[in-house]
Amino acid sequence: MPRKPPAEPIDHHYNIARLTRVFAVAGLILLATSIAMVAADYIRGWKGYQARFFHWDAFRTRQDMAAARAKVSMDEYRALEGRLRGAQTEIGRHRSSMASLQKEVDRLNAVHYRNDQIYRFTKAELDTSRYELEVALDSADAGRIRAARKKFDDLTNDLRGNQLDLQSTTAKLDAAKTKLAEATSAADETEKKIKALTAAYTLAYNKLQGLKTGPLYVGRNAPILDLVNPSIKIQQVILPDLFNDVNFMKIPKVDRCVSCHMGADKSGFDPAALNGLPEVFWSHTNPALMVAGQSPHPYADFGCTPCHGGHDRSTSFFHAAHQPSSRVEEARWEKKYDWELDEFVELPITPLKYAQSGCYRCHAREVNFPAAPRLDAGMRVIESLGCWGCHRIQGLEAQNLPKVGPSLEKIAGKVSQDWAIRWISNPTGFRKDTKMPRFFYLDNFVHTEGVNPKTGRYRKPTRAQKEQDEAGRRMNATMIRAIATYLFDRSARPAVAALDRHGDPVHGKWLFENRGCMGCHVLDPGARRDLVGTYRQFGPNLAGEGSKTSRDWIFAWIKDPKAWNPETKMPNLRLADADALDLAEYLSQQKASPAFESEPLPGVDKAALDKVAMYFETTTKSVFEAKAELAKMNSSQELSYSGEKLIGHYGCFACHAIPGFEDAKPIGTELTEWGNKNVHRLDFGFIEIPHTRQDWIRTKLSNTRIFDQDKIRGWEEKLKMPLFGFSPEEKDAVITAVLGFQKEDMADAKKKSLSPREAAIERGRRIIKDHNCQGCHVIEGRGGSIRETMADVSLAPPIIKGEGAKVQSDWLFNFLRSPKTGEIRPWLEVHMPTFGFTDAQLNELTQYFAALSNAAYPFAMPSGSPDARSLASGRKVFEMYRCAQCHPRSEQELEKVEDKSSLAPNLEMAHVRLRHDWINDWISRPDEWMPGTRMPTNFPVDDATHQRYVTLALGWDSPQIAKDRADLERIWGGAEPASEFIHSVDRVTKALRDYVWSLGNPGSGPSASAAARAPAGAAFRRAGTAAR
Amino acid sequence: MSFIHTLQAIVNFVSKPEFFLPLVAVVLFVALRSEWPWTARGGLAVLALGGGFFAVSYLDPNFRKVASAPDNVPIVGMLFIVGFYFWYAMHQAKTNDRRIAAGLGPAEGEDSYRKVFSWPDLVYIELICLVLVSALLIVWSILLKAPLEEPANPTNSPNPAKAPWYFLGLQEMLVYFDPWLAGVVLPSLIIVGLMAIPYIDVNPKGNGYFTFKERKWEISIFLAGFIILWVVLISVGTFLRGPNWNFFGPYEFWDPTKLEPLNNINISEIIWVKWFKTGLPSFWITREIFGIVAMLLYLGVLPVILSRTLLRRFYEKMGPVRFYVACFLLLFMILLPIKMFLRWTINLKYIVFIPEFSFNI
Repeated sequence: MPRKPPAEPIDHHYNIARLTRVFAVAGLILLATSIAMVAADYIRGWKGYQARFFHWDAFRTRQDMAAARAKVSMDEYRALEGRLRGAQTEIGRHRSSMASLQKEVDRLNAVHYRNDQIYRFTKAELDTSRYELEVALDSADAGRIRAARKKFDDLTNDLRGNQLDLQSTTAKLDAAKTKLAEATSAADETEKKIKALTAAYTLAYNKLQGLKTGPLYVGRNAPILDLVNPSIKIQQVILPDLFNDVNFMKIPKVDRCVSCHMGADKSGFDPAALNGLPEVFWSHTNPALMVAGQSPHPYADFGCTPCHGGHDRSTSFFHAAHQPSSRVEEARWEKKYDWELDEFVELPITPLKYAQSGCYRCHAREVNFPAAPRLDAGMRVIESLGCWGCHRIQGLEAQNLPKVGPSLEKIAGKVSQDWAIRWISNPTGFRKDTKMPRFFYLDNFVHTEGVNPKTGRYRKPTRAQKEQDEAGRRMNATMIRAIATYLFDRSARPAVAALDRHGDPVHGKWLFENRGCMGCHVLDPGARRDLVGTYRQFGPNLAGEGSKTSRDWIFAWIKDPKAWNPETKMPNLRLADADALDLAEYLSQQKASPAFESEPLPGVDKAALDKVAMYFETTTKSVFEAKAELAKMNSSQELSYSGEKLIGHYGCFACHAIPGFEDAKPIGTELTEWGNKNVHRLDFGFIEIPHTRQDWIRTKLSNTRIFDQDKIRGWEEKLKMPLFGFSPEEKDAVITAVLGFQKEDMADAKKKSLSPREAAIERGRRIIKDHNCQGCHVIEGRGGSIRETMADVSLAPPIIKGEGAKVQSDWLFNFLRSPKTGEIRPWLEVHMPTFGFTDAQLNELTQYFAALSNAAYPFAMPSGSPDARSLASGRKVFEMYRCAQCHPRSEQELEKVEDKSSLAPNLEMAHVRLRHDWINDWISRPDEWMPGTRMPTNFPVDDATHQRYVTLALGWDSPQIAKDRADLERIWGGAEPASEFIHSVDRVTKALRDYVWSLGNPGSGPSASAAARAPAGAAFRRAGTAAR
Repeated sequence: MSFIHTLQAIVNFVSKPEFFLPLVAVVLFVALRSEWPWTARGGLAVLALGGGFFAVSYLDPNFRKVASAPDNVPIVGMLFIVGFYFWYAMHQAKTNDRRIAAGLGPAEGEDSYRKVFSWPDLVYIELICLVLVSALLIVWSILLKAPLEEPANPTNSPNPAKAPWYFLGLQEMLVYFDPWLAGVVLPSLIIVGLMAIPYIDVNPKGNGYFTFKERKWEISIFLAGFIILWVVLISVGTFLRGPNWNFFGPYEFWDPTKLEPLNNINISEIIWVKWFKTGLPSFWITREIFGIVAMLLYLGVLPVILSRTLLRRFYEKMGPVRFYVACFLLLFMILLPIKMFLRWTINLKYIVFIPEFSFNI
């Protein structure tokens, strides 16, 4: 009902027209903000990246298409096309017969359909009637039973008939279809071939269609419409086994990195191949190790963040917490992306420079990290410098590493107290490449004015600071004196035999450079510390040794290191007395720099000493009792007391065995989970650096006491970490390692567990690392540092490759327990020393080598005795190949050889040392076993057949070898069998093996037990020194 | 440069609660009594002053960090909004007071005899406000996103750990009062007090129109409670309390290692240990007798005295029940500034300290 207008004019409180204008404006504002809202939701950074990536993907797909097309031989394609056309024309020519064949097939199809239906319906009715019969039988009504049975029988017959019909129709139909298929078979086959030929191209083409950016692409990715099926969408992988510990729950990681880094999990996005490809789209490096489906770390199982860190669920550059690798990159990011670090992400993305730190979390039980060189270097530095001695690292604790510094239990017998004081005051003054860090005279004691952060130079000290610095210097001097006093008071003083003769230093030098000392030692006052690039800095640099200790001590040490220190890593070179004396004479002539020797010895400051002693006393007593205690001590007792306490304070026992500190605990911060440490808990002090973990470590390593700058602290509260003088590479390596010390936040399924074989390998690697085998030998492709000191590397210690498959395990066991000079390679001047391994270690080593080569452990002896003919022909072939030229069997033969560098191991050791089945394998393919070996490849691979052949068989019929051929024919009883023999690589090598096995073998059969085997190499056993 | 530093140091100093709160009280008292701040020009001047202060202070990085934190932006907004409505109400009130003094009725009476339809006169306005506020909220949510910080970690609580803004006043009170009082008793009394106002209030004036002169006491007491003890304490809690709930001036860096001595003593300790030089008695009544007596006098005897002397007028107008209820509530409310004053001057911790029952005043 339409309303009547009101009688009087309506009064309004407001001006409605104006309100309407305001409302209109407000509405427009709301419209604008709604559009802004949709835009803000829609416009995301990652979408732009994906769109750009599609362009690059299309570009690359076009490249793939072109490449695929180029691979296809156009001739073959055209031929196939021609054949297809021909086949199709054939079909066309027989069009009418084809048509009738087809008609027949169609007709039979219809008949088949009908028959099938009839059969099925009849079967259904039969089943029903069966049921009715059963019901009737149950009812026991005879009439009903009769009727039901009749129906059942009739239907059974019908069904049988229908079945026969159906089967015959089916047969006919199949026959007709086959005939039809035969007619088109040629065409079908050709089509299939064409498809196979163009498969790669078609694939690329289809992919390209999917990447086209037409109206469909725009539509499906438009705002709001993209809820249906966008092509630009978040790419994620869910990792339930690898979780984020959010303190109340463990939630699975959901890695969305690939939403921008679209190329990372794919192959082929290589900046070399695609010019100008932005870094964000590059494929992951080393796909065989990471990311590829067959690699040990496939993307679908590992994602990105377990190794690289970062906020997994984030889809923005900022929130993922990317970190730049350098200041330059940081400046670029700040400018281009307005980057700043998201301080709320607990584990930001590791800067790419340190990315290898992500490996350690899972692989902490392993000894070496060959696939992660920077991490490997970092762990080597940490192990060699003994960081773990002060800072507990659980993974390393489990490996029971020996202390990195020498034992100080007998220090008074080796060095003078003056030398010790000078050494502690300034280790690098004596030895530039020392591992010992500097504890005293560091910035927080003697440069309290601190460093100007902009220039890096010391600030100008105020008068008070100058006094503080002086006091610090005096206190440090007193501390050093105190420590030295304690050490020398408590040291044992075993007597060192005084020698009455002098050695020949020239010969000593020769011995040092040739006997093998250079595998672990350098003698070079200018050498820089390099614990990563070489294995030769395992033992101390022997420059200046004469200033440190006496010739007599060196002699006693070299003769038997374990007599002085049973825990030492130095092995016994088995030197004769004269040799040892020469060496000792030579080494004792190496003096330290005059600057070190003339360094004035600091005095003891009574006030400082009292302060130190009082501090330690008052930790357990009141001030009055402490004073009373101290009054009882004379000055040397006070020094000794303070020294003992200072050793406990500064943790010297972390690297050195010190009497009184056998069970002392590490004094430093535990590093086991340092990578997870909350950044805001790190003490940055007053130093202005970015608040990231890597910046903190780097600053700390550069100047370990720097965070004390500008702080008011008593000496006992000051930072204690000593200064190591890291090089930039060492710093980067250590940072990589320490950032990797993180919690193992993952399900057991994902934890890297070592199989028994892998565990055996790791145990062996540990022993090898702890004893520096790689100083002399190349093992697992690394090491052999001694080779760089030798002019002719064929006279260097042998490369150890495939040792487990090569030698008998019990021979290896015995050899490693006590190597004998002159058995295998008597001409070598470098001698393998005796390491004094325990039985457990020997077992681990032999198992290690066996596991590496996947060889049977322990070795099983061959059964049966060799064929006599095989033995004889082996001897013959041995002659023909002139093996004795390099493998001399006696001293006389050895003397005859001109070129020592081609000498090869003594074959009389073979039956004792080598594995039976390895010998023939080696003979047949030394180039594969040991690339670069001097052993000739007498059975090379034929280019055409890719099979090995016997070189002797070439020119088998030539007259030059007529005599040898005759001999072989005699052995084998005929030309045919001999020819068969000589053409078979397997038989020839086995014959050689049998012969070699018989060398020096009294019972040249396999029955010999270890004890009964002849002491081989007797011809070469040398008693004395090398005659030179 | 140092001029700015001096200015900043002055502002930092004046912002300390012991100066800031009395200052606000004095300013409020004076402003309520004067005319000029409530004029349009005066209002604009105050706005310019406040806005200018914020704009200039924004240049300082420490101020900027706190004021532009997404959680604190609404509080900044609240300060301006509360200020505006306060000004607007007082403006209306002063205008009405002038009109009433001139014999005219209040301004609201001008068109109150007429009736208008709720649409459009009521609802249209509301609709427009709805649209504008929606637009504002949308823009706000686009520009200032809620922050996502690190996962909650019981071993690593944020420092400072602040309550939501509406409880910051109470959290500030926790500095001065025991949690039982500051967290339970006082909030309950606030609520009970607010509920009781319609029953206590016997002043018939001011129904349906703004006025100040006719409701001087009521408005002043309410504003003392709302502006000073609620809004200002919230602002102090938001902007001037940093790590460890230490005080930090607006331009001070929030240093988590800042240390200030908290050497506060109880009345019982002052009297027994400092004055009488004996030890504290072990029985709690003897020990706390002075504080207990003081509180009983304050809450029990003082209202009676006041009813006969200073507040006799009110007693006569309201009658004993209303008067004593109102007086109790008022005295409890004033206890807060009294305690704060005692803390600032003599480092008073508790008037009554009874750990045996966990009851402290």
